[in-house]
Amino acid sequence: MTSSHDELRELVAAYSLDALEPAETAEVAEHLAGCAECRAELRELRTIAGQLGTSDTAPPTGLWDRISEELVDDPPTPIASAKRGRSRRWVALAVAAAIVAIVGLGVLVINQQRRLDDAHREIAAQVEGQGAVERAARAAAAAPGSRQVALVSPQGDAVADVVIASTDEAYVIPRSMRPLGSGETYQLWGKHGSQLISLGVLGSRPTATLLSLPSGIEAIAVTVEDAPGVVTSHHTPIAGGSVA
Amino acid sequence: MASRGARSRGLPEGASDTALMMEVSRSNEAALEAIYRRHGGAVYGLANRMLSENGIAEEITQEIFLRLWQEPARFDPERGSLRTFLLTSAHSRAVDKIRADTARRRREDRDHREDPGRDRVTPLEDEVASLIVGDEVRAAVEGLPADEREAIGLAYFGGYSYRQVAEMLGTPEGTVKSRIRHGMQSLRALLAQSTGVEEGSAT
Repeated sequence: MTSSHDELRELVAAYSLDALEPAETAEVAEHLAGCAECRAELRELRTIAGQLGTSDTAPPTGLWDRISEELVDDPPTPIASAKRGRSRRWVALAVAAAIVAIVGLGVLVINQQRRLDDAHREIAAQVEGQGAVERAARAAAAAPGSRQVALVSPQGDAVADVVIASTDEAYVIPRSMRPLGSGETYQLWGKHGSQLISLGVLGSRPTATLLSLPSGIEAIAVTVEDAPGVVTSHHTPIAGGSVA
Repeated sequence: MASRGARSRGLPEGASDTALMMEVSRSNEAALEAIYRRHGGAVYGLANRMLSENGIAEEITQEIFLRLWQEPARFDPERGSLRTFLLTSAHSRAVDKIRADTARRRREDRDHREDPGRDRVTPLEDEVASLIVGDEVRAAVEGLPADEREAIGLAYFGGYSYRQVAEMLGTPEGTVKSRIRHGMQSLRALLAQSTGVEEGSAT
């Protein structure tokens, strides 16, 4: 059965309370994936539902310890695309399509946020100074065994270079990254299998930056995000490059 | 224990939920714990109000936080606050448990066909407000017409589908659907300004 927007919209309130039958839930979820208006309504209704359910209950004593123990045995793994809901998948697909266009890789891309190690950045930026990072980056580029990846825009402009010295030592060297507004930041993403992992937030006026690159990164892309960076990107990368 | 320490980097005082989530996705356990301290009680409290059976609310809370750890990217800040996301997840897990349990009982014991709400909360319209903790939200719910309050309470806290609510009350399905819709719209209008329970304010 195919229902109209109006018919489905009638069901969004019940959907926000998990009060639909499974077939209707699936139909509404599918509609939501393609309807920004209904998604906006759902967002508001879910906030209201959350307010109905919220409380300042104290959780049972010892519950955190039991959760924490499970974490030790079950280290975090980046999510697989198959687990994601339909409404998220279109976003992931849009990002995937953009990356594919840039780096020519045809795998579904999922975002996972990783942020630059703050300590790394502080040491790099404050103790040694930016000039030192730049010099270290140039030295790394000249060292035997290092690799260099050009991040290129769809127009063919070299936006930045990434110098990979080792897993713990990689540098991004901006080449033509225009200054952004203060509410925006450049963010660097690494493609690893079917996932897109954030490699770091570069700020609105990027300078040479030290980052750690998880092993197995196949491609790198840059997006422009709202400061201070995002967990999940909804934006098309402005540039990318393959780490082959 | 050394590996545990390595996972727990320092966090800024009063870090926003979004900042904590970024740390969670970097496998920083201290960030997950901070989120648990901020929102774990609300998650547990909701599941506990929906399910009377001991232990299930704890199990759901555990599941929700493990999943947050394993799949942090499921939280999308553009779709609402972290607290809403966690409560939505907890609600939906609790409803799954309630429905699975009801189906099982129906298979096992035909007598329960007549009594689908035996082991769950079945708030009647005059009791719904007592399940709500926030003063402002409770006042808004108390201001709703009794039939809307009842439909929303049975659906949200009882975990009943609108069809089941219609069956229980002997009311046409379309009527229950409109009561839920109209009641939720009224709450939205009343509470639109008060996002005080949202991100960051809970400590």
